[in-house]
Amino acid sequence: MMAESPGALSVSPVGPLTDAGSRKTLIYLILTLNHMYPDYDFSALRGHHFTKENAVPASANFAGALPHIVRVKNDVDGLLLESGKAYEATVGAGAEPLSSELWRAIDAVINLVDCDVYTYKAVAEGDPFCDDGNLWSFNYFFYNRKLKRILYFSCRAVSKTADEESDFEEEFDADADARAMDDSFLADGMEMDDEMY
Amino acid sequence: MKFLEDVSLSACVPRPETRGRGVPTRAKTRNPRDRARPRSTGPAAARENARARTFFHSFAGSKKMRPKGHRESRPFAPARSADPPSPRLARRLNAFLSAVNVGDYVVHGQLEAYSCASLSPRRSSDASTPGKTRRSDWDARDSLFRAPRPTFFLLVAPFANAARADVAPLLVAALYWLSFAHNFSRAQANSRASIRNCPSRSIRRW
Repeated sequence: MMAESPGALSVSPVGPLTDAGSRKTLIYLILTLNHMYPDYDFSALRGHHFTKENAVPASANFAGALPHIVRVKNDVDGLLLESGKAYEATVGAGAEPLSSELWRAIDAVINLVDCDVYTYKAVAEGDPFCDDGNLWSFNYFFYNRKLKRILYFSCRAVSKTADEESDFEEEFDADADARAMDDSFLADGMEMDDEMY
Repeated sequence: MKFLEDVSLSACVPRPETRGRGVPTRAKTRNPRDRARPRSTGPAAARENARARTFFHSFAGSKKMRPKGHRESRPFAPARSADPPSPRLARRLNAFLSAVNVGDYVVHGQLEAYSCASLSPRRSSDASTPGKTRRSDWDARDSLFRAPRPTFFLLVAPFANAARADVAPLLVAALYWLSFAHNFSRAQANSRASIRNCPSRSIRRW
């Protein structure tokens, strides 16, 4: 533990934690998560729970766009492909594809060119991204230092069968509770009968 | 999509029932749907939202509650700049992404923007919003902004000799490792007696 501390402080996805700016970044990420998911507590997260999308060259060549942004776009667009079809079928929307409207709106708010992109690695049980029935999920923090803004974008796909199962379990639990109450009542009654006889 | 409208991250102080390290914890509720309840339902949630909205302003307006030795770290605040260029589009997208029915599964999306900008002192002195600052909130936020303090880095300072400076962190690290129950964070590199006495006292007690 002691031997790991200097390394943990000097190397982190948000930068060296000995630097105040890096610590602030980490705090912003944690507070954003805490705010987005008020029923969860992310205060104990550390730097290694996040990943920074590094600006390494991407396979696709998009002129004028940063490679890591392009990679994030590709990942998100791939996962939201079906949602895009649903968007096109939506009345009053769908004049443009979901992807282009989405990224245009995001770019208008956060100015993607100046953004650092971070991801929370959801690995722990009891995580909002690891609930039962989750098929896939992503979460991205777009942090623009110049604008001092963070845009949080997250999606998760939840299986309908899991929803139905959870509904069934809830009903089953409710029935079980009701039965338990009835049984306890009957048992009490039987004891009384035994005593009577 | 709530774009910089009324959300203040200052309200996001850690909850006291933090369990475990590096693992997000959640409140135990029997019904899973209780955990996923919308924020704005019920009077308690409404009060909480109102508190979150006014949290920064209460921070900014009450300097008396600032604990001693507090570092001048500025709280988060909602940006007062103009609205984003396309709030209507953003709202529409967010409404669409909140629940997208896609055949066998449903996509739940969230898209929110926050501002980390701090208000200027003139704005922060604006006492138009009522509210009181709780000391615990200050402490919690202050603890978040506090730097991690590796003890051995700090103890190097008293040593003028570079060669001996390497020894100090090792000594203190060894003390920590050998006796968990003692706190050596205040041990100074030039106070040999205090460092030397700590383990001996513990041995005697043991």
